Amino acid sequence: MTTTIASSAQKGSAGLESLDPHERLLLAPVIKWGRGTYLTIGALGAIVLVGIYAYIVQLQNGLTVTGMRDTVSWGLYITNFVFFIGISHVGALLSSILRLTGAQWRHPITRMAEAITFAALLMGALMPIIDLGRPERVLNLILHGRLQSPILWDILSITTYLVGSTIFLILPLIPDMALLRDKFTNAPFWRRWIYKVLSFGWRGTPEQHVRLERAMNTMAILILPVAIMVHTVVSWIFAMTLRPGWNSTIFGPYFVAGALASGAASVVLAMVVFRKMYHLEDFITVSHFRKMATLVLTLDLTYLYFNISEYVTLAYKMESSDKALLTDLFRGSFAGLFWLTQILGLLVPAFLLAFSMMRPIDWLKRIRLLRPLPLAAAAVVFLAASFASAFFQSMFGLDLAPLALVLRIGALILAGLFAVSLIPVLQSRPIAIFVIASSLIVIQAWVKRFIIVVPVLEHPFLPNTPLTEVLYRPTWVEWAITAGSMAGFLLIYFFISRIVPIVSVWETKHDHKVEEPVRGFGPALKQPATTSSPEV
Amino acid sequence: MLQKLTPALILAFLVATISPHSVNAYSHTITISVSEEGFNQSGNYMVEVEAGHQITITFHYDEHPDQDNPHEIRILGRGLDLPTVTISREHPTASITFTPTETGILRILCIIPCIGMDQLLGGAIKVVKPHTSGAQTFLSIELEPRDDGSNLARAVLQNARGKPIGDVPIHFTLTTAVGGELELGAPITIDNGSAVIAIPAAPGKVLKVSAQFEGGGGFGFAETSAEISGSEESVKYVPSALSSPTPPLSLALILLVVLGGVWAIFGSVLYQVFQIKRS
Repeated sequence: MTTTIASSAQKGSAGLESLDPHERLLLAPVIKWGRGTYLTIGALGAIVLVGIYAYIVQLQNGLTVTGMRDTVSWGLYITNFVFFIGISHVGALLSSILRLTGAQWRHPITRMAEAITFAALLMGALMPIIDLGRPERVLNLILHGRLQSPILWDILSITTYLVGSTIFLILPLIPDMALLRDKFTNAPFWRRWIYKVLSFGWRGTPEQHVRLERAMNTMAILILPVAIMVHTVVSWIFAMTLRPGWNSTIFGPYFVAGALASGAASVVLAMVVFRKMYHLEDFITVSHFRKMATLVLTLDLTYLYFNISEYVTLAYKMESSDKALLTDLFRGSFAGLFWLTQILGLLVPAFLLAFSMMRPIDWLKRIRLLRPLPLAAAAVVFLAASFASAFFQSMFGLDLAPLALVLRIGALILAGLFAVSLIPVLQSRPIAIFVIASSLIVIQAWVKRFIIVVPVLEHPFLPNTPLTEVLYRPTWVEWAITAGSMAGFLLIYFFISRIVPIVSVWETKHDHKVEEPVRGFGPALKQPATTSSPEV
Repeated sequence: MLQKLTPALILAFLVATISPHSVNAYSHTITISVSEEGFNQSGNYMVEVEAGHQITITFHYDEHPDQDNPHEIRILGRGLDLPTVTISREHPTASITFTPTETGILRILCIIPCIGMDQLLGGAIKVVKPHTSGAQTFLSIELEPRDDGSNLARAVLQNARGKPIGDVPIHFTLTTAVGGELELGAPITIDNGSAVIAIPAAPGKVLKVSAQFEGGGGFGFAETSAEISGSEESVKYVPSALSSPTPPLSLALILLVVLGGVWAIFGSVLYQVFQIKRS
């Protein structure tokens, strides 16, 4: 039986007859590697190679090939580091909290979250070493590290979290690894070896179940404080200095809130991609998205609250050392990025997610005036006319300022009506809303880290340092390494989804059996069974 | 690799002439010799010029005749966007004339192959606000050592008749070895015309503290400076818990308990996993 599956899988056909429908659906991406798999690996691998080449250039020439200098000594690498560590929180959040609270709906998504944690931590841990310029000097932190230094706390906590997350990822994999070990016997040698080693002799006996549950519960309790510790310590690297912009008492929870928001948003994106790519519509339902959207909205609003608290308290006082930095953020060279993160990255997603949860506003559809395309076109026309009036004013010396003002107000009103007209359209496509909102939050997360790191360093304490000496402009080397690290993260993540089932087979088996008669998003899917895990 | 990057060619500044001060706009003329000897040759200095007045800087190639080390020199400062000045064996002298409009420090650096890393060393040109003219004022300064090794700077501002001038800011600066002048603050004079500021302890070092009244309200500009030697005895330094050379026992214990506890639980989980294999 196993031979039939394996040989047909090798041919690339869909012959997974020995598996039940549930297993067949979830194991198909693992057993069948089509052309798309190799193309994806090749494309991501190529970007990683470009990043590696850039790193070799940096190793040969030193950090002088980057935009970093003695004043701005942290740039894209530390931005990436904080970003990756941030999104890595989601594994702990989803798996741990949902497991401890007994939320059964977690089953199809916990492994996606745990794999994000693992992949993001691997990339995140690399970033400070790349930032060192002389990577061998990382040994100095171990050989001559000072226990009083937050840098050493960071190394200790990240190492601990990486080990913990790896264990937390592997534990629920054991029964699925055993399934692959038993049924995918014709797999390549290296994969058979992985399945054999990571199945830990699993046969599904009651005693093994008891031990596995015990280990998983222990890790679920432990991993949450470890995750919070890691991001708090990362924030302390900044907050334990006296620099304006970093000298804050709320940086710990501020960073943790931002990390959880971006992590949860990244899981939503992963859910969308895997649902489409691996045909998991029966496992990842609209109900899962709605629950995740509630979580993302809560975390987004929490992070927004911390942003308001952080910046309003500083801006109200405008202490002289903070003034230059805050002015640069609010009205200066970083204002575009700053307001982008606050409005487009946090406020807009909050509105989108809130709209998605409201009861559908059908009466809006009946207002004939509210048609998105004509409204958008009219807004653009009004805006163009306002610019044209300014042009005519300068060309012919006419006083068209009142007209330009009216046109701009008109454009603003039309843009507002356009946004309102989008509500019923978006509400009819909830998953599209979740994707847009989550993408904005994830992009915001990276840009916000850049804003936390770079503007502060561009305002040094040394007196009378001309601004021309402290401007940071990332070079192609930094962008290439950044792109390589992002691709590396996606490559590891994609690879995991092709080596192990990205949705837990054994944990969802019972849920899926209950729901099997209902195709699509039936009501049964929203109320999964609460019985214990089945044996494999 | 760093040595390779370290600029072989660096600037040596020699200030030649500064024209006498006058009430109306005047120009500064500064001559700077450029060689590979480094900033050390001329030590640290600060040339002060007023914003709004023209400066002409002449660079002179001062290398050994056998050597051909061209220099591309940039002058950086707030509100300045000046072209690069190039001097070489063939073109040993070049001048640049400009008028700084904003206060701050002008840094002069060779961009080959320094890549802007040397600007914090050596001398600099300080652009200050134009001195206000008005009734004559007198500013005196006293530096008074304190028990903890720090010093107290007290400046007293008086008019021509010796009457104290209150409620005006006095700008205090400390000349530092690296980074030029450090702005200490601008306390406001009280009724007796005095303004006071604390100077950090610097054992064994000569501190030069300057006080400046920018003028205004009918009064003219005034400045003065004084020096004081820090006590030879080093100040007793009491390190805080996190800046001490050795970690405090409490911190080491906390880390040991927290991390030890976490890793012990990891160990127990792995034990369970290997028990799965056995059972």
